[in-house]
Amino acid sequence: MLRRILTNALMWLVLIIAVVWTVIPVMWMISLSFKTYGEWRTPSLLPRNPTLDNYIMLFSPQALGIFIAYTAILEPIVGPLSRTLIISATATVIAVMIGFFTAYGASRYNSPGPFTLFFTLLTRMLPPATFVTPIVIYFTTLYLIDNIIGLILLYAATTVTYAIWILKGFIDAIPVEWEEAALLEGASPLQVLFKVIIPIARPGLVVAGLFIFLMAWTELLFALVLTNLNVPLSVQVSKYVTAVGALWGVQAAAALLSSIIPLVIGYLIQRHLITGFTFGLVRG
Amino acid sequence: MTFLELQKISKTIGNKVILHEIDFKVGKGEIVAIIGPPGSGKTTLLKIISGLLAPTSGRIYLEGKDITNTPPHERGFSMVFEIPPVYPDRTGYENIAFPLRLKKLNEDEIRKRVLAVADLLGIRHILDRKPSTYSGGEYQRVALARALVTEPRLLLLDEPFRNLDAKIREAMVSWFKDLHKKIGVTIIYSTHDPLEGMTMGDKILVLLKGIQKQFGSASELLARPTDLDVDEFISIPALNILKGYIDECNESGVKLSFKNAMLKIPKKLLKCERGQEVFVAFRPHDVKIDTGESVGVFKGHIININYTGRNQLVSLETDDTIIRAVVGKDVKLKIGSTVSIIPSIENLRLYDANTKKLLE
Amino acid sequence: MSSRVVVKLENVTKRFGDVVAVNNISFEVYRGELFSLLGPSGCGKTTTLRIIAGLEQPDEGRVYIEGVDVTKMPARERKACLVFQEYAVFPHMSVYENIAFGLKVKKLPKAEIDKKVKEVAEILELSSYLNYKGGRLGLSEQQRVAIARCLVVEPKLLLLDEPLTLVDAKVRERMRRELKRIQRELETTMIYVTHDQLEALMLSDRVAVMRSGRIVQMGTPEEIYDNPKDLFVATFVGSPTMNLVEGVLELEENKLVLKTPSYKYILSKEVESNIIQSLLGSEVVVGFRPEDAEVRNDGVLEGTVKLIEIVEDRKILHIKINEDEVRVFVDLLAPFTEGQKVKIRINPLKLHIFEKKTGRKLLKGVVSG
Repeated sequence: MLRRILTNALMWLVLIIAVVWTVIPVMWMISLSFKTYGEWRTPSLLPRNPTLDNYIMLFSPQALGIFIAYTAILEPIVGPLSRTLIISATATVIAVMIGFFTAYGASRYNSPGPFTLFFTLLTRMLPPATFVTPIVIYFTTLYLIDNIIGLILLYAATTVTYAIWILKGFIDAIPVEWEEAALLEGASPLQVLFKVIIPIARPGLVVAGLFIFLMAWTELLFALVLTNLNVPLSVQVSKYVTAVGALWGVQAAAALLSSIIPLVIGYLIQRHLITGFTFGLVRG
Repeated sequence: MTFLELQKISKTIGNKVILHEIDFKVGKGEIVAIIGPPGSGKTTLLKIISGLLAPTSGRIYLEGKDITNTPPHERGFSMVFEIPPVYPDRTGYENIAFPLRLKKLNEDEIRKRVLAVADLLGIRHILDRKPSTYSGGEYQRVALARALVTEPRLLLLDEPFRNLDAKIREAMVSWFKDLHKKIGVTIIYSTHDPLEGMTMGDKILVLLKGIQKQFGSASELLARPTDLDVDEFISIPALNILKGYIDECNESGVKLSFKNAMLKIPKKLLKCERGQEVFVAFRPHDVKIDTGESVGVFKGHIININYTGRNQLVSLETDDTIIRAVVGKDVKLKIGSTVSIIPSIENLRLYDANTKKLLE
Repeated sequence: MSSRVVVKLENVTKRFGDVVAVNNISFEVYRGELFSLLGPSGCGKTTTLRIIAGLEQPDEGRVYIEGVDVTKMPARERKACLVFQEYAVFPHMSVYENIAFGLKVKKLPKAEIDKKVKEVAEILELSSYLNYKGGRLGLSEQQRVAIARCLVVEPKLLLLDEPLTLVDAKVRERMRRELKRIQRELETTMIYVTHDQLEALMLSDRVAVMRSGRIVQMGTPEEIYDNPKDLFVATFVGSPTMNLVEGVLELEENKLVLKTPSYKYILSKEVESNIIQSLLGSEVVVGFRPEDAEVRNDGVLEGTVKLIEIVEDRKILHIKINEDEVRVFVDLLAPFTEGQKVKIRINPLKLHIFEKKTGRKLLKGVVSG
């Protein structure tokens, strides 16, 4: 009995610490984004005079005329935002498409076989920083530095493994009999893919897509290294704090903006995640 | 008129012989039940008939035409697999309409046919709902509707009643037979339950370890099983099998001797070999037991009693083996008591101990 | 609490959202008995078992095992062996190792483990599978290994959730008989959940028939088969299902007659009016089992043979009487043909009469037995 109380208390303690650890920084970021310049460095949790100045600065750095030295090098956030949107969306589409067909082959035809699949996953386990130098060299040679295409290709290539693993699970769960039934009814293998597998595996496609989108959206290391002027959003956010000065509030605003958009996208497509799975073995 | 004929269909995968020379004829509108334990090759046989699998050797004829090499969707067959193709992401209507959409029929025609089949199967009310809301019986009927909506020439069903509750299964078998009377489509279906197969099928194919042991009506199977394995498989509750010898045959019958008993049965054997080792088989329903001092051929003591509602199933241990008997429910029995066992001598079947074939 | 009672449930209720899965259930399970929870899918039998096992907590009520209130005790401390769908076979171990698992944990000597494992494997027809890896087994074998794992430790209480559903028909028939024999010999207390009424009849010492979260009738297999308390139990228990006809009862010239809106059926020439008096004129449902009626020339109910079914040692005649259809057993060799006109006599002692509105049983037998 006493053991039970102690276990429960410990559980609660761990949970509370975890929640606090996760939530406090987010709350701080939100409140910081509404604080005036003077308040940026104060420890108060809520802004005393909430203002939208930081947000205005995001869109037109010259607007408030105060921080001229920094604003010269800052782009209005629209640029990086649209770049990241394009990069993430395109990379997601490419990775999911390639991932889907590979997963289908792996699931139904064992090609690629389990060893190859495992190997691709292994490559993802190395620290990304290992690849920085070779990637920079290749990309420079291929003129892929400082443009969207480079990042799209990089993200698609590095996330396709995850797409394969997620989608293979979903496709494995679809009984082969369902495809055979369609074949028997006259569907060509391609029709089976588009009329049977894709609709049923749609939640899997959404999960994989969302996962990859998020990875591309938040990636910083390679984005920093591979871009100069045409920076994506993740890099832009980091630019508000430099060696010579820090626009904490503006950065918070940028970070908040950066976080909210994937959240909104996820909310809008959530109904695609809920399809209702009751495969086979129904016992009434 | 022979509608479908299989000629010596065999299938080997690697070194393993899955099916060996399956050969039978199906008349138009008949129901053929393929019965056998799991792993006997029933699903493989159905897939070969459907065209999804090619046989290693043998030919299939449909109304006289050789269709062995015809691709599956050109045969005009429908198949409902053990995991029925009811896609969870769409409504019942869409599921049933699927094959018609593949055939590129126009929407009006599709609607007409889907509703007609839905009415026939009594599932009109669930057409707008998704499968996650269906009961087991409804799920099965949607799969069936999908198979029937294309007006197939032959319907193949792989263990269609397997995952249903016992009571629902009972209702479905009877409902299915009614349905068959209405639409008359030729059906080949498989099951691991011999009783269900014999109830459903006009003809039954007994498939054991890939070999076609017997093909005939239920009465034929029950009266004259070709060998002991068939007799054993179709008997529920389990068949009683005793090993003995033929002592002598004469005008009045055959004299059999067992370890501790002798039995005379009024059977006329075409060929009688004295000393031939035989298996004597009889069903639990063909045994009487007597708790009194009467002269029974065998004596045993009761080791198990199972009540079935209508009667009692009694397991008796004799010197050599265990014998099961069906006894009326009003008979009072005690575990451990000794009783006389009197098999019905008209219903004993003899099999050669080596070949296991029926002796007649 | 008497030591005869091993498990006791007191007013147990369990809700899942708006659905009351288990509704105020109380019962006792005695030592050495096989107690079944029988009912259709969704009736709450599995949830009840899970509450006894400790996998679910009841919203109301208490659970006692061996006199101890275990309502809040976690599952692993309840010392019951579970044969549940999710407690599947360890795929990477052999069947032998799977079954021996519990015994190894108890640190029994190797020779004894070997003996026990082989014994149980033989009973469950797994001897030839002993070296197979769990992952290679078919569903039928997997379920049997799950049962073997429990049987081999000879537990005080065994909880089984539909353990034979995936086993194929032939093996299932043998398993049922053997399970009863083992249970009787080992005197293990078992609580068994099933939707298969034949299974419940064959195995149980007592059965609780459940529907929509409640126990509708509890008793020995003979009691629920011969004396169903209401229409649900009467039709759920017994295969083929009990024949039912609806109408109003009347006495005509000393014959018991059932009047439906369009027809009149003579149910029995034998009837004792004082027994039946109170039911005359009321709307009832009359039931009789296929084995309690015969085809006879002096039968009073007339109909046409619609279908002949062969079952084990007998035939079932599906007889159409006006709009209704009844099933009657006849001999295997009796010569009937479809379309033939026949007459049936129903055993007057076995006529069950139920109230139409509530399904409640009103009377069994229209003559004194």
